[in-house]
Amino acid sequence: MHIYKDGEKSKGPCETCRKLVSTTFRYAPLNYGGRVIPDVLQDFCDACGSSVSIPQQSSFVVREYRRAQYNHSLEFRIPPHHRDILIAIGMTHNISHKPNTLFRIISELYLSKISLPQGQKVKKKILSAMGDDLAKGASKSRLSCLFPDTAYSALRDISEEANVKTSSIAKGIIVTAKYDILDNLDKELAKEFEELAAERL
Amino acid sequence: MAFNEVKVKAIDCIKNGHVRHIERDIGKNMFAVGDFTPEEMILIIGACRGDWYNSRKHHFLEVDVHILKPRGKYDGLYIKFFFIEPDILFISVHESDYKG
Repeated sequence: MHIYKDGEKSKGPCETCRKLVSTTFRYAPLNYGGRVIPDVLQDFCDACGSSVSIPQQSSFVVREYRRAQYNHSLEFRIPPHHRDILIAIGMTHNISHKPNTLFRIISELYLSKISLPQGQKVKKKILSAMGDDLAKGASKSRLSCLFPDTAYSALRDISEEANVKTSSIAKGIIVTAKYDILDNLDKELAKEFEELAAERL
Repeated sequence: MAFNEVKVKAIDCIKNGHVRHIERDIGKNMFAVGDFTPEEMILIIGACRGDWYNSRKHHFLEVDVHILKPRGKYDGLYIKFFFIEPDILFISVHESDYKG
């Protein structure tokens, strides 16, 4: 990968000057989705100072910032055997024995896929799991965790689109994870789960 | 520039890391915000066929803007980019029903 450096010169299309201009890379705050991400490398128009582009290396910074925004506190009511499923997944993969932590990672794994083009398939799988026999049972246990922006938006979108409660989606995710990760029916996803857990814990 | 040339050039730029994203459009660029990795973008662009491609002039530069609408696994994706040597500059990588 080519890495751009602070002070490096380039050329780019300036929307303000409406022409190809000389630019200089420097670290500055980046406005993204109504928030400000500090210290993101961008190239700025040498004539008017407008930000022109961000190099690929900065996309990793933006991604990490988005993932790190765990700012939505949610609570779900689930059947007690769902806690057991989460703990079993955590212990089988040597990750954690804390249901809240495990659910945060598992839900982030599934919900991050919703925004991708193959997201419809994942969404259908979760909604279908809500009708599985394992999804049934009195919701006597409680899960509480912090969700990042991206996962929270995906959760709200499914909830609104399918007209179901977020707790029902949480149950669907846990049942789906039981088959995919605990029973190891989706080896690729189980591997992704381990990698995400290693990143997050 | 013929479609195959565009494809090869785009993939080369991504492989070499000569990639930039237009700052103004970052909100509709799933590649810029890390939803797609460079490897995924290479796969997506590499799988595109000529009839999924078109181009038009940039709104103020004298360059062609290349537009890909992949099908199959990535059906519904809309990709728009152009080249300023030695870089590829992505304007959009989003789902076609995106409402900004």
